[in-house]
Amino acid sequence: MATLLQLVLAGIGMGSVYALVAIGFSLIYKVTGVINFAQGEFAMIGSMSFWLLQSHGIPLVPALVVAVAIAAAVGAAIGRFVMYPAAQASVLTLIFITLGLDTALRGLGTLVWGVNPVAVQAFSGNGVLHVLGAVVPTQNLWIFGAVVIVAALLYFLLERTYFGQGMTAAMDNPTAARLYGMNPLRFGLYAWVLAAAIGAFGGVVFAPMTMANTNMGLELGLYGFVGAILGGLDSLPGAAVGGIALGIVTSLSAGYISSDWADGVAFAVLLIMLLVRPQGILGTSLNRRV
Amino acid sequence: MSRQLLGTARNPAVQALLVLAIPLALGLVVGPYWVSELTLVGMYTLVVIGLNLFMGYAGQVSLGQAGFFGIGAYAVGIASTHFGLAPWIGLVLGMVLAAAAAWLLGVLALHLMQHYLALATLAFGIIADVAFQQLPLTGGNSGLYGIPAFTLNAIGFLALTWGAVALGSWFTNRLVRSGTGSLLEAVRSSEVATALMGADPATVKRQAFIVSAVLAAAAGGIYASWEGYIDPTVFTFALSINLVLMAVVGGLRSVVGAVLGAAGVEAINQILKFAGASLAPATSGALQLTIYGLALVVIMIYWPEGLVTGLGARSRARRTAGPQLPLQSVDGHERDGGQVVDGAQRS
Repeated sequence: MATLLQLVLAGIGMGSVYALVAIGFSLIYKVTGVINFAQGEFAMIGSMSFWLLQSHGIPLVPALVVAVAIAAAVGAAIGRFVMYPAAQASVLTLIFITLGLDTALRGLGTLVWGVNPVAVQAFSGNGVLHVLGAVVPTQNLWIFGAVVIVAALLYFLLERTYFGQGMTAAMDNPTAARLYGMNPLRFGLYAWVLAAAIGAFGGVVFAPMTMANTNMGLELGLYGFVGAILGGLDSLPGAAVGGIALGIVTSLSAGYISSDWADGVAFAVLLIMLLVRPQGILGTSLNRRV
Repeated sequence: MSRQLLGTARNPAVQALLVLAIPLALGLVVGPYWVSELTLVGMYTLVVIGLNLFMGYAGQVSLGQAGFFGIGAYAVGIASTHFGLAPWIGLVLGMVLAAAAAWLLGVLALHLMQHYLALATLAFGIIADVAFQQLPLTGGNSGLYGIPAFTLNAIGFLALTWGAVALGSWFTNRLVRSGTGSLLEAVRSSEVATALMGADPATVKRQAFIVSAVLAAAAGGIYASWEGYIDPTVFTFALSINLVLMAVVGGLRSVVGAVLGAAGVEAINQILKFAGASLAPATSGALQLTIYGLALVVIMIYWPEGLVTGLGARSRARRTAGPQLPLQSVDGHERDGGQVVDGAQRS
């Protein structure tokens, strides 16, 4: 019983990171219709920037803010200099473009930060909590807290501000939003900035859990992806739920089957989900974007 | 005159002969290093021809082609090292296995729309890679050693590889000119409209998918026997992406594009290897990723049909008089500008 609880709690911690990547993913998809294969690289940029700042003795909060800002700037550059000229591209072409971005960012990251894995200090030491016999690193609380903060901020931004209402309108009905004089390209740009910032935040809180390295983005991105599909690509709460569910599933399969097959299990879950319910747990429409 | 020449050059049989003759002639002139490079490019080209069919004509994305390549390679490896069978038998087994896997995946997933299908193939590729690492038969992370060659020397392998490319290109060229080809193009334009015409888009897509899987497995089988050693680090997601890059760089609907795409990407690879000799290996690897990625982004933004197909269409459009129609139509599929202008003139 303690093992089960232990695995589930570890899964929620890992799943919260997937959830943050998945939320960014869904955000870009909802606003622009683009499947962003480069989403995981924002987490990598966040982690590695945070490590660099931390290793120069910069305190936690400023380091976190600057790391997130660096990733947001990269997101803005992509939104402006890649997505504007590619605005008319087909779904197929856009998939190739974001795959290329993923590859290029991974390469650039390695050129900037080197190939070696680096150790990032946990936010509040390497302590652990004991919950009903299960052991939880305190960093897991930070990660889970990050999801709650992002979800609350995003809710506030989208539901309670004028800017967010415009963005929601652009997501729900791009044509009508354009008729009202909104520029969908501009909202696409904001979506890229927000998604990059959220992904980087996920990367920063995740970094102390493992050795951060410039190759982590691909795997995080793929898992975030699976989480987003599980929850429903066009649903932001779905992305969070899907990410956490995926974390629990991979943690349980690593514990009860074999950690060697964990990747296989995660993608088998994706395949089954695509076959049984391609719109995901909370998603609604599948073929709206014909 | 030039039109007649062009027509001859487009004949599938002529193209196939050229695809076999040119690399073979080159191979007889150049040294052993380049023979091995040409052989490798041939293997990639074989996979890319299949991707061309599935992505260029049917308009779908496969991000799991490395999985089929791996199935072909491991079939040869396992059949020869574990069961002492001749590599030829392994090659055929691999192609059959890949066809079966593609058929199954096709039945399950090909009703999905473009990006969901891309994800399903991605999932397949990663599951296949995990299986290569973990199954007892595949030798795990240490791979399989001592896979026997097809009793061929280097030039023999070159001929075998490009012979397979010639066969593959002849077959797919014939296919796209048949009724199936028209259906594939219809699917690419609109699956809904194809279904309304009474044709089943999933069936056509599945046929193209199976052909692409078989070609990838054939290439993988030849690779295993040529290299004599395989391990799971070869058949990763990164290889799938490289193959996609080769397909789109050259151009998605031309054999010449497939050859040039594979050769071009491999050339960048080699140049970086030479240029990177003074750098640390990790730096040269990172440089390679950066250049590949940026090339993919830039080419897709400005020449979404690939360099060969895109530039060809533009020059044809320039040769024909009359109003210049935009190459990019509203739905984002680039049309052949030359043909559109031709049609307008005739009417």
